[in-house]
Amino acid sequence: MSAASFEMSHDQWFPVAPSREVDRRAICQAKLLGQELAVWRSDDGAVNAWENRCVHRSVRLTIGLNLGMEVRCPYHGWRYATGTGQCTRIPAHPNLTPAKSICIKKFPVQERYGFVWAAIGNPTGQPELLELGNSPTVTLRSLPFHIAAERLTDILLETGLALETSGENTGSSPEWKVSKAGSHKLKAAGSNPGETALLFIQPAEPERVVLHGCLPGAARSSANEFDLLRRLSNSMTRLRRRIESARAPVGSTAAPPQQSGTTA
Amino acid sequence: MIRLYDWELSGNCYKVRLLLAVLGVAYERRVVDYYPGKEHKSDWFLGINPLGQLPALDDGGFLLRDAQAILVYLASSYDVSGSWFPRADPKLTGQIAMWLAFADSLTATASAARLHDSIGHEADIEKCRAGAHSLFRVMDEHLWLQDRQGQPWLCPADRPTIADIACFPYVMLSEEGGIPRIDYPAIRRWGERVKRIPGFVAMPGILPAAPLG
Repeated sequence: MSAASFEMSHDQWFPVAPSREVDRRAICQAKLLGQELAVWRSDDGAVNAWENRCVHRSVRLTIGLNLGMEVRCPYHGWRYATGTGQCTRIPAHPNLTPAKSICIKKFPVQERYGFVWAAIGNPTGQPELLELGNSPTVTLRSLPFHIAAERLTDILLETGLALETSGENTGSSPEWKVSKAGSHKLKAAGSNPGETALLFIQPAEPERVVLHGCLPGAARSSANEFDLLRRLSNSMTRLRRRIESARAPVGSTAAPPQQSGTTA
Repeated sequence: MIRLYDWELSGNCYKVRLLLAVLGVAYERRVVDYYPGKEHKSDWFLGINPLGQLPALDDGGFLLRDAQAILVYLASSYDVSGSWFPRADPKLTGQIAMWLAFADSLTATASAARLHDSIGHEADIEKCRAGAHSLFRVMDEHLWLQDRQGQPWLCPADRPTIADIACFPYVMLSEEGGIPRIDYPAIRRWGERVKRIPGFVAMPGILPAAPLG
C-alpha cells in the first residue's frame, strides 16, 4: 500500500480482530495503517482500541494485564480506565490523583458483524455492510500476508480462492470467484448456493495486511460449517504459500517466514 | 525427594518446574550455573548428563535427562488423575508424542534465537527466527481449528496435557529472540489458557494471566 493511499484510509473503518477472539481479561495486539493497537474488552463488554504504549515508559500495554475495567502496565503498574484511557493509579505515588493529561491515546472503535472495527482518523458513522443486513455472521480465520493491500487485492481478483474438495474423488477443485465489493472489501462466491463470503483487507503496514472474512449467517450444520471454515483457511494458507514462494525473501525484519529449512 | 538440576532462565527447565507445580509434587532444586559459569559442561554435571544439557532429574537415584522425557516420566509417575499423559486412546497418545517432538523443534529455533540475543550463543539467527515463524504458523492454524471445534488445547482432550506444557515456554519467550507473535492470535489465546491452569507458576519473561475476577 502506498503512503498516499495510507493517508486516504485514515478515516475508514477496518476490522482489526474477530469479536470472538477478543477474550475477557485479555489484550490483543493489532496494527492498523502503521499504528500499533492494544485491543481489549472490559468486563462490561465494551471494546477499547488504544495506542499500544504506556505513557510512562512506552512499554507495550499488550504485555500488561486486563483487570476488568482497567489495564495495568507490567512495568511500574500504572493503570488506565476503559473508555477514557485516563490513568487512575500510579503505585509509586499512591496518594496522588493522576493528572487528566496522563491518558492513553484512544482510537475510534466499533463492534459489528462479528468484528472489532477501528480507525486511525475520524470516521463518519459506523461500519456498514449492507449486503449482510442484520443477520449474524461466522468469522473466518484471519490470516496475515506480507504483501501490500493493492497487490493482495489484485491476486485475489485474478486467481480467486481454490478450495480443496471435502472428500476424495469428488471431481475438480471448486473455485470461489472473487469480486470487488468496495474499498478493501471483496466478495467470494462458490458455485453452490450459500457459498459466499465477504473478505476484508486490514492494512497493517505498507507491506503487511491481515485478510479477514466472514460467512453470512445462513443456517448450516455445525459439521458443514467447520468443514467450510477449514477449507477456506487451507485455501488462504495455500495462496499465501504461493505468493511467498514466488518471490525471494527480503532481508528485513518484516520478511515473510520461509517455509522450508526446518526439521519440523 | 526428587531433585531437579535447574537453571532459572531455561525454558526447558521451566516446563519441568511448571508440571511439578501443577501436579503439586515437592522437589528440591540443584541450581546449575549455565551462564556465565558454564557449569553444565563441568565434569561433575557431565556425570549426571553426559550431553551437558539442562534439565536433568534425579528421582531416588533414577537419573533422567531431556525435558520432554522428564515430563513423560513425571506425568506417568505422579499424576493421579491420569489426564496429563493419557494412554487409553492410542491416537491421543500419538498426538501428544508428536507435539513433544514439536517442542524440540521450538528449542532448535525459538530458543536458539533467544540464547543468541540474550547471552551471545552462536546461531544463524535469521534461520532460527524464520524456522520459529514456520512452526508458529503451523501451531496457530492448528489451535484456531481446534478452538473452532470446541477444543482449547493442542491435543483433543478435555484437559491440558504435557504437550501444552512442553510447547508453552519457548513460544511465550520468543520475543526475547526477536520473534514477534502479533501474527498468531490463536497462539496468544492458548497461552492465556495455559497461564490459567490451576497451580500455574511464572518465570522471568512469562507473566501470569490477569485473574478472571
